Amino acid sequence: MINEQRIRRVQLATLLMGAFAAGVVLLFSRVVSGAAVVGLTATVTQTVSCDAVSTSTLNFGTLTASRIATTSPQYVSSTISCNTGAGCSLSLNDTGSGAFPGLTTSSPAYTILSPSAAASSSATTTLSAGSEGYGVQAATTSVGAGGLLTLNWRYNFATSGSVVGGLTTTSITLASSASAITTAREVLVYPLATISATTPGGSYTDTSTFSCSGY
Amino acid sequence: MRRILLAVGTFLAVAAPLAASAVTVGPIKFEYSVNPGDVVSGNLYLENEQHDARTFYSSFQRFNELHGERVFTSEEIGLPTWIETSPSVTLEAGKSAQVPFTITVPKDAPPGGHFAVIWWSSGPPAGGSGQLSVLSRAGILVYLEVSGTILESASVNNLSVPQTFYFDSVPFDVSLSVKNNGNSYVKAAGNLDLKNIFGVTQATVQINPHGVDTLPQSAKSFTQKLNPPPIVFGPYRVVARITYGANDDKVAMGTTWIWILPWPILIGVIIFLLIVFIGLPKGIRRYNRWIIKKASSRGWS
Repeated sequence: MINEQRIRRVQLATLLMGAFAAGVVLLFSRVVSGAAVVGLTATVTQTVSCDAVSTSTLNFGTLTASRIATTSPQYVSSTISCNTGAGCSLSLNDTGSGAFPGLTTSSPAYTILSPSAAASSSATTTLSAGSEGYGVQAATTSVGAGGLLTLNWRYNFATSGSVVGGLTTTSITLASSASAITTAREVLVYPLATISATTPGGSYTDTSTFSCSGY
Repeated sequence: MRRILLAVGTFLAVAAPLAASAVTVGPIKFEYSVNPGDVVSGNLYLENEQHDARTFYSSFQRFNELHGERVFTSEEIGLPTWIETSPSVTLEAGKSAQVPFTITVPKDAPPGGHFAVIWWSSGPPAGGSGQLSVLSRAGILVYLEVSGTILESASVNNLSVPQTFYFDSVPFDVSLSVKNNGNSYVKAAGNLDLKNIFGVTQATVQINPHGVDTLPQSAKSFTQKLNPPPIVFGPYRVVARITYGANDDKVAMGTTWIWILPWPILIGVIIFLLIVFIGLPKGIRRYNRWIIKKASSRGWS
């Protein structure tokens, strides 16, 4: 009988201890689950960035009717990057005379039209010494990472040749990508110009603007 | 007579050696649906990535698309004249700023889509011909739809694949264009499906996953890669289905057919057909001749 009592006491104690342990576990889990669950959100702004760099002033120097002139330094480097999945585009527009793209002098008022007077409504022209013309060639480089830049066919000519793309006073796409550019991609723009024997003398200038935007 | 031209100036001319002039802006676009008379406010992101302090200048232009080419124009009308923001912001090296802007929509603003770009450039806006400046500028596009009579109409055109017959189950490009025939911008969204002759979809890919907008009276091209499953054979229909509109309740579709005939399966099918239509009849005829010959030899004729 004593043994039965003892057994019952042990059983009761075990039962109570089990219940207590379960209660502790339950309480602890409620404490843990009641602990602050912090939700975090973050947004990444879609951005686009571009740059136009030249190590020094680009200068054609003295133009003559006997050669196709290039600038010194020979090109301007423009870069673009964007973190948008649709990619981004780099555009180019020319100030020229305001009404027409080209190299312009104010005294006398004259513009060497781009790409040329004879091909003013054309996208491209082949420059030749002794005949007025002005335009650019462009090339991409291996700089950068992410989406590749595709050049506008209008400017995609070998820099060893004399075919140039005409500039415009409204923005025209120079290059574009169809996906995000994670590290800036580069386009080199090479200006070329020619004059004729009758081109007025003077100091000619121009300004071009590189613009970038997304889609 | 040779003509000497003194000192042709500069392409991208400045009076001093140039430096990098990177400018970063975001987001890449804002999209608003507004009523005439509304005033919209927001913030844009501007960052100076250079190693010294820079001042950035704002300007505004309209934009449109012509033959797939985005065109920016400087007309002093419409949305560019409704936008106000700081004319210039100076940032220390590596710093960024949230720049507030407002768009005040006139009470008589015409309904439909209006489009402009907010430029931030590394130099002041050109003041006239002859001024020399180096400019690189980054732009934030603004798509604004003014309520009123909005015509929502779009179509799927020029749905095409590089070839009609494929002799392997490989991913292939599908191109299409979405033409916006309405008077506001359209953000077409949908799927390209590869369906078998029973209409069951075998593969699908999203059209315009990045939410590119198509301007009124212009078209936007999209190219996506469809990836057929490994076991395919026969004719399949490529179906482009887009939804658009304020409530995404308008649908436009286009379809084209292709044949996918993987070489191993094609050879197996040809062999099977040869057996069924040539080998089997020949075999039956030979068997019959043999039976008859055998019967004859046993005197059963």
